[in-house]
Amino acid sequence: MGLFRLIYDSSVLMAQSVPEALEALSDQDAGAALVAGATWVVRAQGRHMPLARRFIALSNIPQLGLIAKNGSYVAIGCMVTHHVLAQALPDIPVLRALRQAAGGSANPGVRQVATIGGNICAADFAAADLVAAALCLDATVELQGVKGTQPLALADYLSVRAHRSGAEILTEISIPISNACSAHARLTLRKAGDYPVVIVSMRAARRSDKTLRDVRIAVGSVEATARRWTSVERALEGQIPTPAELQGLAANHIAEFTPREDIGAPGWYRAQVLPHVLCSAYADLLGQLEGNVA
Amino acid sequence: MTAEPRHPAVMDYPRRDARDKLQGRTRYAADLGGLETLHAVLVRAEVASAHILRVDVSRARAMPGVRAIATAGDGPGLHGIGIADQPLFADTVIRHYGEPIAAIAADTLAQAQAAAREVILETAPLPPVLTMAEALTQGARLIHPDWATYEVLKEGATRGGNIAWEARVQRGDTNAAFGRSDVVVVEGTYEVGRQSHVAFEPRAVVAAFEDGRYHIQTSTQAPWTVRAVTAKVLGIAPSMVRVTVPAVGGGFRLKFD
Amino acid sequence: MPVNLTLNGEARTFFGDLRTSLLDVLRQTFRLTGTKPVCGEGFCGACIVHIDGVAVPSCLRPIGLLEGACVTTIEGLAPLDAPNPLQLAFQDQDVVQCGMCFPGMVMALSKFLQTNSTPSRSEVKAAMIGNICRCTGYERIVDAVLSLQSGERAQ
Repeated sequence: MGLFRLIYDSSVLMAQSVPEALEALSDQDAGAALVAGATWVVRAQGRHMPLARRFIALSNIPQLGLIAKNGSYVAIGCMVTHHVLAQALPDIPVLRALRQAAGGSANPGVRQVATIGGNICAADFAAADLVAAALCLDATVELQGVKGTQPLALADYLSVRAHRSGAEILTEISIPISNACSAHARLTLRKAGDYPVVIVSMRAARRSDKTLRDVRIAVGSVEATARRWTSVERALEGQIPTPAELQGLAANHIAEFTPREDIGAPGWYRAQVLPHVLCSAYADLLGQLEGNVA
Repeated sequence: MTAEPRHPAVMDYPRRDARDKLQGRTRYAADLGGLETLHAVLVRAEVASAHILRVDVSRARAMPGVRAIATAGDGPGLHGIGIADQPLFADTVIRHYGEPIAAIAADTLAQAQAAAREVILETAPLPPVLTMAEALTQGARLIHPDWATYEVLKEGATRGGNIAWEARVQRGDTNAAFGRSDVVVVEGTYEVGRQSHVAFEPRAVVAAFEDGRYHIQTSTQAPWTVRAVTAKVLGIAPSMVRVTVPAVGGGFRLKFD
Repeated sequence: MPVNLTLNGEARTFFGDLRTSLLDVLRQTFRLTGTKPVCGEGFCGACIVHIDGVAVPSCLRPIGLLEGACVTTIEGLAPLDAPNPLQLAFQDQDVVQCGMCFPGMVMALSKFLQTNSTPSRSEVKAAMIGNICRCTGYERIVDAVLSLQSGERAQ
């Protein structure tokens, strides 16, 4: 009976607070995994990985599921689901890419449970819509460890997330509010429902002469980790090309990517369609800027 | 001059099975296995071509929950289409990637999977013949060196060497059609990956020995083939095998073998 | 630690590995096989159930996260002798083929219709993104969903 209880009692911990979750996570012998929406962790065996021996679930910690507008930032709790994000994110033009990403990812059932924190922390999930969207919006993540909290630019976190040691929980995502506009585009091989082979999120504002400023382009699903496309960002700064011109310009910078190969699509295909997806995000963005003369 | 039939046939009756399917009451083959059913996994070859030196299932048999393990000796007969060239389990030779080596039945699927990892399979590599073109070249290694001794199930086809069964279809005059001045002939070779339907219901079977014969409940489009092949590999009379088919959750010709 | 939940209106308790998916618990422990296991990855929709009134794929929900939850499966959606209007539309308009997708299809779309009772064709299709029908009977499914708006079922 003792062994029975030990095994079954410890397979899922419903943490009631972040410190309790951190303490459980610190127990290295437990082979524990943090569980937000669970949609990635429970499918480990499908990726030929062992299922974590213990789940530490964050769903009983209410403050992790909140969205708040704090002055010039919007703070999004890590447990906010895609569905809630799409419904409840403040209706501010700059956040549109994130709303689009959240409302169009995966499928309605998955959007009800998958979370923004889970999307950002699933280091081996390359096709996360919310990561690209948050990246183009200059998001910062808040990492809570045993010794305290640390903010980190999302771009920096993405480059180190697979190698960070010590127990920590990504509790919050902050996005600065500006008068820029944003747009999100994705290409799936079926009309919908599968993982996108290319994701592009874009943000920009306009100068008084209608040229672009503060341009951000984030590319997801092409490489293993989403990243900014800074060369094309720089080329757009102070310019206002047509979508077709941008597509031509972007084609000259494709070689900067090392596209990933997987069962979804070959690498060359991802690289080849990237300028087209960029072009459709850009056309959408231009429409937003036109309708939102700042 | 035929009169209107007095009672015309009504063709729009609802499907008798629709209601149960819409209420989740239909039991497909994969829904049958309750606690009384053992779960089986196949141990499959992970090379395309090899001699089998040793299959040792003793460690797997001792694993928790394992109730039985079947290997080549348990189903020695050959079956096939046209000629009987396929074993149920590979015996001395592996002829294709994924060829079954053993079947393990355990109380749970997880136990059967754990036991499958304990099966010892020792092989010596044989050069594989991977494409049809390769198999047809002069001097290609014979996939079935004993092909001439195999039982012919359907007479009349050309066979020999790596050709198990050759059938030709001749209709019309192709040369005359290609020779027409208004026809442009475009030649090319195109290769695609193997396509497989993904029926929603997987391949599933629940088998029992009851009332003096085998009862196989399976998701199939060809119950008579299941009966014939089962009898053949087990070396028993077809009348010893009863096959029943619950609702099939998608067939698409996939479940025709 | 056991998990207590309300399943199709009745109090039920699960003992076992809390990482087990709700799908496996429904089918193996409670033998409610109307919820279908197909992709196991949340893509196909065959295992959709209602958890606290929300349509979600049960393959992605560890049972340990569901203490106190209210779960409705296809078996508990409507009385046997009184299928809901969507089930009747699917039946009467001859929409059902192999049937494997319909438990999930019914659970997803009946919940969708509660939030949007007069959807457009494209809204119905968007609501079905997570429900695959391998018999590819999509258009008839959409037709049947849309037929509910007029309040009369097609003959």
